[in-house]
Amino acid sequence: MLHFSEEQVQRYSRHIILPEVGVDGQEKLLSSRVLIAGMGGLGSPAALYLAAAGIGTFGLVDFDVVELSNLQRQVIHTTEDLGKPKVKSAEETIKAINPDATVHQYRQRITSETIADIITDYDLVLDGTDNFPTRFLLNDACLLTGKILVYGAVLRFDGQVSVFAPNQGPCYRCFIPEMPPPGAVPSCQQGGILGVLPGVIGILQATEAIKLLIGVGEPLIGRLLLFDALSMEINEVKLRRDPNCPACGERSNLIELRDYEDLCQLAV
Amino acid sequence: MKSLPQRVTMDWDFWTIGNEPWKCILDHSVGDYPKEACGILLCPRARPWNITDAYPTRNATSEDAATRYLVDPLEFLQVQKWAEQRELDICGFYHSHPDHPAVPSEYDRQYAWEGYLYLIFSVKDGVFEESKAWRWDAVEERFKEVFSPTTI
Repeated sequence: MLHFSEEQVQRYSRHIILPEVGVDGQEKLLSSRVLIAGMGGLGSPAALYLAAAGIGTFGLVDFDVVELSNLQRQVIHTTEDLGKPKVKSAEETIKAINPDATVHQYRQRITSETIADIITDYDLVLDGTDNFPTRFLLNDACLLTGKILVYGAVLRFDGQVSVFAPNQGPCYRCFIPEMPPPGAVPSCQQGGILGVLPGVIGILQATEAIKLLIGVGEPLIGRLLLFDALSMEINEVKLRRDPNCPACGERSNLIELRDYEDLCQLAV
Repeated sequence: MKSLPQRVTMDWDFWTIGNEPWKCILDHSVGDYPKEACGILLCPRARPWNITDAYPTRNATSEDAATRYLVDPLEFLQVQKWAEQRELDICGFYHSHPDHPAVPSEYDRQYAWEGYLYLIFSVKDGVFEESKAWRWDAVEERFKEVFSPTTI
């Protein structure tokens, strides 16, 4: 059992007085290990609020460096961080918010060779990635290791959030079984995004992560939340586990990880 | 005009498509150039945003097929039966725009049905240019573009 310092009692007082969180819940957060794949638009706000919430250990995965065009939405990075590896910049901000957090940087691409070993050390995975091949691989890795995947996606003015929990509900491939062919989605360079939108969705992902770690509320397992920033409408779609899912279905032959082709790059 | 039953209501603003239906539509659109190609989009009931099948149909328009399309109503009914046997639903339609952008025309607007996805393939000089997906908003009386989920 953890013993809170006086500073921690003060820091987390607003959590501790919530009946649904309390001392037990806060202790769970302090003992939790969360892997955030991608320190971009979604990973940034999620990491900020998870740090504030007292997540004990972070794993941050991103191979990229901070660029000027990132700053419109990747709020964990600042102008002073231009050119810095995103995982380094993110660690600095996380620790500025919460010095008690332990942060492990993985400045690398997510590949089939390494991701399973990385994921094993964490309680859940938050998907902040920006392409289908990585999402597919992350999904496979979470299925094989039994880790919950908190999903988020954004484009233009629309966002989505869900939770993919192995053996409890559908996986990402039950939702999107195949990668869209080139030409079916905007090319990576052409897509636009309202800067605040990943803020909304990333924080919803962080909310789901906290609920799962504490064990309160109803997580979005089997549910896809749809957010339309223009109309301010929030809708929900039921997601069902697909018995024919190529990843988690009855006839799935997923026994090892493989890297998926980046059709978006091929299209460019 | 809107007398045929709508099987699927589009309550979501995203779509995905498999490689096979994509290729089918692409080949049909390019192959029928300079005429408009058209067909029916099919999705599993449990995943109505995911186009798993595309059924090319005859362009039954009595007007200029280079600028107009009409899905043969008989074929529509046949596809509906075919789909039911496979636990699929008709979730939309595709057609091509020879030498025009993948943006709905005034004619497309006149004959749009709410609750369906409209996929338009632009073919320029016989070569695929771009595709866009749309849904008809009956309240605002306009087409709204529908995107595949991704992240930037």
